[in-house]
Amino acid sequence: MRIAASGLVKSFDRRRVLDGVSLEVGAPGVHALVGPNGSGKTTLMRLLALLERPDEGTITYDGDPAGAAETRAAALRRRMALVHNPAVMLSGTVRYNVGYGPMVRRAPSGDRRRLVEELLESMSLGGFGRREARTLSAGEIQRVALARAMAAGPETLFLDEPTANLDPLSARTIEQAIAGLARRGVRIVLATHNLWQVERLADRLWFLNDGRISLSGPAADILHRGDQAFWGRFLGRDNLFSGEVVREAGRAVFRAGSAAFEVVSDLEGKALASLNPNEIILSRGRLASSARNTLAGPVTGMAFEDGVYKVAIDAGIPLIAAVTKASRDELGLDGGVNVFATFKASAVRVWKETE
Amino acid sequence: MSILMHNAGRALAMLAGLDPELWSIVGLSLEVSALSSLLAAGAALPLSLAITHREFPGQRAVIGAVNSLIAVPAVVIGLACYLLLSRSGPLGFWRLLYTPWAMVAAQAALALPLMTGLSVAALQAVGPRIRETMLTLGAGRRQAAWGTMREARFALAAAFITGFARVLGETGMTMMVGGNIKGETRVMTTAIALETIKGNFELGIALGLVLLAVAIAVNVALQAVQGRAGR
Repeated sequence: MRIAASGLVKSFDRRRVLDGVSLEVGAPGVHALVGPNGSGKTTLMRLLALLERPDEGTITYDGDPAGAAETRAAALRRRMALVHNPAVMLSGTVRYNVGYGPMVRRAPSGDRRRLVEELLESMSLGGFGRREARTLSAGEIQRVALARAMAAGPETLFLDEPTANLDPLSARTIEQAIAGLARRGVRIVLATHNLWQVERLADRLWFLNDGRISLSGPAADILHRGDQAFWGRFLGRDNLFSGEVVREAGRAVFRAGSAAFEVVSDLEGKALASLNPNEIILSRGRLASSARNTLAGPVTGMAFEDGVYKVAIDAGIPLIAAVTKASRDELGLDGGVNVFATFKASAVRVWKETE
Repeated sequence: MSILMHNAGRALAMLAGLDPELWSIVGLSLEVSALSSLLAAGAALPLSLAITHREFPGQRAVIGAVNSLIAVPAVVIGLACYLLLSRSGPLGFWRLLYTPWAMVAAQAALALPLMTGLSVAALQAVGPRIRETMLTLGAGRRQAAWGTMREARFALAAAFITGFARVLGETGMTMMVGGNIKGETRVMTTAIALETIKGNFELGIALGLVLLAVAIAVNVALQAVQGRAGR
């Protein structure tokens, strides 16, 4: 089902969350919806999935507008599915949850059971069928939610940050399932913050900022163009470095300013590196850990944003680390205090700077 | 003390001896209260669904009104029912006053706001995300409504039981519209009131024991479903 939106406007409490968004979910594959928190990603998906109506603008499905009739909306909704973040489980067993879509479509119970078992198996949830869904862990719940959405057999699947805050196993299983669905011709709209995930999965990319799409196109083009200004806008001032990757004793080391740290990359030469502030561990002493990198330097500033403290550190490069208020207080972080910033080599994203 | 012991002994003998008058009173009580509870539930469920289905202007006022109606004294409802059903009243031609049907109607009217208010709270506790999840998985409106009730089933059962307990223990209103006619509209509460005034304690005590047993059973059931609802 081809979905085309034009001029979508949606406000909540007089705040314009979407301010004239037009896009088309045309070809099958993964369409990544990238943007900072509060940029309107979730709202946009809710409009497209017909959970809410836009204030202005139209959405067409295979060329026909959704219209106001609830019966048509319900019929269209049957061809789509949306996975919330965090997903909510219906009370009952895992099997009941995954079988819900086929059940409301009145699928024969034998087929339903087979499909459910198959999907659970594919999400590494074999044997979970009889478990009470709400007692599962966050990662398991998110996997059940994706299996549940898949069981509904959607032509278009909306996923709202499906791997946010999940354990690595759940995240990998979910990504594999997404890739599998895309191969089978499902159109997937994936809202995410995770650029690695976009790189791994996305065919096309929309960049949503302040309720508008400021960039769209094939994901590979946009990601590998190395447009520093673009990624700088997305990442803000947080940890985007221009430098070079060199080989030292068989290891890849990224050098920028007077700092050097290990990365996982096949690249060599000029490159960009970014590092999620949440992936940095701050300490007052040097940590003994498996993480490959430790940079040290004084705290140069601090700002409270999105519920966490962003701590700026002069570690040869201007590094930003995110910590909770409790951590800040415990560590006694303040301007001038010397800290150690520890992060894994695999936490650094490296890509080629082509200019 | 000896009078109490004496009458308690005879009451137990009545219970054990399957006294037909006693058990017919118990039977009518349970029938009238069960039927009125079912009628009230039949109206309370769709009402509470309509109120909670989606946000609408004045929703809070409607919920506030329902909750205020819970506070209306039973005797006022009895008076209203009496006036409606009395011969010269607008529904007098049904000739329901002093029949079990009048008691059913009054008890249903008493239970309706209580059950509706509790059901609204039960459905609201499910939250909009659950309904939305069902919609995104392809449920139609009716299926989503059914699913929401399923989610709230234990809290809804608690609402029903609470309503049943309320009407079963009601005395004054039931007497006003039922008339406490022996063999016709005499139920446990009205019989206890009457027999006590008459000094006929043995039947009063026997009925009191049964009423107490039913009330305890209902409360145990309520505790059980509330325990599940809270999970």
